[in-house]
Amino acid sequence: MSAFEVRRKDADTVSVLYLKGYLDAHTAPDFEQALQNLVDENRVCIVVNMEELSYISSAGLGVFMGFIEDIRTKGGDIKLAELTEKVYRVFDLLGFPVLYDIFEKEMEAIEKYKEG
Amino acid sequence: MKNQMSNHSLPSQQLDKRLLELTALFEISRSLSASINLNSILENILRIPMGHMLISRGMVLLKKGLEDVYSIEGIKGFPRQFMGKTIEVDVPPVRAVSVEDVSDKHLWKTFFTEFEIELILPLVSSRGVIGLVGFGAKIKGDAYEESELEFLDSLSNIAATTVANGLMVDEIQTVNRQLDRKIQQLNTIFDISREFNITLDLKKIGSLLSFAVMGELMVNKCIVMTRDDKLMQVLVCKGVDSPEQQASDLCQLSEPVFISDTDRFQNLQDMGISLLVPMRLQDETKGILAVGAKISEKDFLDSELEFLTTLGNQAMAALENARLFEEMLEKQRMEEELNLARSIQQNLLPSQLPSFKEVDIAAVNIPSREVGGDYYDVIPISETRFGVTIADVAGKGAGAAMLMANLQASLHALVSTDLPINDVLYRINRFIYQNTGLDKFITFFYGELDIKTGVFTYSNAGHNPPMKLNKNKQLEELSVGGIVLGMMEDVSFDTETIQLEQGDCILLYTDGITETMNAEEEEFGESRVLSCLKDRTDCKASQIIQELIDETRQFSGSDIQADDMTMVVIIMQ
Repeated sequence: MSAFEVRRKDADTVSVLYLKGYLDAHTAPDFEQALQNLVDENRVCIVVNMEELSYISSAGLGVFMGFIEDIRTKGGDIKLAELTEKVYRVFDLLGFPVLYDIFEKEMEAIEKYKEG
Repeated sequence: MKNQMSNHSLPSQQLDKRLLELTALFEISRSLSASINLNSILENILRIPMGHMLISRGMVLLKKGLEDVYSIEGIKGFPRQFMGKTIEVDVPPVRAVSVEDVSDKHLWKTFFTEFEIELILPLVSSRGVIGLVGFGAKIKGDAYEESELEFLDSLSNIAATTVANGLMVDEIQTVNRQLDRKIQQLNTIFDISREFNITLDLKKIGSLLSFAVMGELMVNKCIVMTRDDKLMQVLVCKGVDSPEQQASDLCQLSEPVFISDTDRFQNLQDMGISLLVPMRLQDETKGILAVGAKISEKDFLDSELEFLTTLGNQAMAALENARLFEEMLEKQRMEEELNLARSIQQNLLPSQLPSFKEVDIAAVNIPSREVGGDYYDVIPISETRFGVTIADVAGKGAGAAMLMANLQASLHALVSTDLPINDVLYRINRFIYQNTGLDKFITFFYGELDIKTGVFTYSNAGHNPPMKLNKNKQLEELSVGGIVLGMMEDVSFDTETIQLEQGDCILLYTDGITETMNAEEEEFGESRVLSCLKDRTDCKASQIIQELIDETRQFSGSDIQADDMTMVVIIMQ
């Protein structure tokens, strides 16, 4: 199985998750755990940086879906940043851009939280 | 061309106008053929004539499918909200016409009149009329001249081919996107199946299925249920609180069902579930995949239902494999427990019987597959005295074996104290009662024989009465005693003392012998034991035992025994 990594960086109220490698059915539980940890700590302003993510499958996207409502109810959001073209295509194909804020740069996503 | 305008007498103003028209046509032709983007094609079809003839409003309608329905796809000089409005045009014009001239019997005339469209021209391609272009009045208020109509006709001729191309490109893009979606779905199925194959954790399988469904279809509620006999039990729940177990009518589903189409499953609908997909294995519904509405509020497509069905069935196969694996582990555990029980039981039984010149003793214990709780023992007390016991502990397996171990330990401890037999039974009963639940009890027989005098004293706590047969084959049942051990705390037991003579034979046995069944579900019974015993009064103890075993086996016609079989035979020499 391909390697997958989640790293986390907290800056003020915003937490950034850096995804790396392959996010598929096999690695989805790791990503789920990372999001669950943030929700448990009540850190719900989340940016997911996908600069180094080389592949995402539907199971990976499903993890986003499983948390979004809960997180928005708590006044937070999941914002996506720095998607590669290949990854963006999958998001686009399944209609994610309607539902999620997608930014080119991580900073823009973080700024968005500060504005709001 | 108008007849009165002969070539040599055209005023220069009109010549200029013709030139402008030609330039405009050229511009349209160039800009249209440069683009395959349908939107920009439609924009140009409107923008160029409107600029050229000073028209304030225009719209392009395209035919939808095979019906005579046209929808507004391009608009100028109207609010955007009119985009997408549709109108049925049964007999479209074949060249530019003034709306005023359209017959009143055509209902669509009103539609265009309301929009203040004065002029309609068709877009005709090789497939027939594919669209209509409508223009409002010219700003200066003057009527369209014949030459202008000709110009617009030329324009629509050029535009029609380009629009047809644009439509085709649009269609190809749509098909391409559908193909991409299909590939994505296949990737998901592939991705998930690979993971299913290496997972034996039921919850993880359910969880993966939920994620794949939620990501693929953009839903945020998903429940996976698996069938347990007639109920559906919730395995995994994402985005909703876990509902109670679901009644049997879910097990009857064989096709995907939208809850809004039925009046059932109200509780699931209340939770935001909108679609139920049965997960089937070998034509049987073994689970349910319950899915919430799409976030986009769009309907589920047929291809998506197929996708859910395929994925659900795949997951069900994986769940079933995992369940079978767990069952196999459970069976292995039980087998190990049985082996343990069997070895405990065998270790409690005497490995060798004491031998006396005055008495011939033999015993046997054949455990059944499930290991019952039979126990026998011959305990030397002194050189001239020994105790003999037989017991049957209720239940099977390790529980019965442990209780038997208690019984054996306490009996051995008490026998060595030289207490009267009824006292021994009284104390063992208290001990067993205090250490077990009411469902555990023991039928127990204990006797002591003085081999010099032949005096035999015994007490029977609810055990099958041993049979005593004298030389004249007269039967005496040894049944004096009390109730089974472990039922009541304070119970006293009676004892009986009998005198044994030379040639007397005592058979102690457990119900495994008498309750042996044949194919007609008839029991072997005490009478058969007795008659077998009577036929062999002059045999050795071990022979009697072997005969009884052979007889019961013959009677049952099978090697498989339902219960332990235990016997002790004592013959006075």
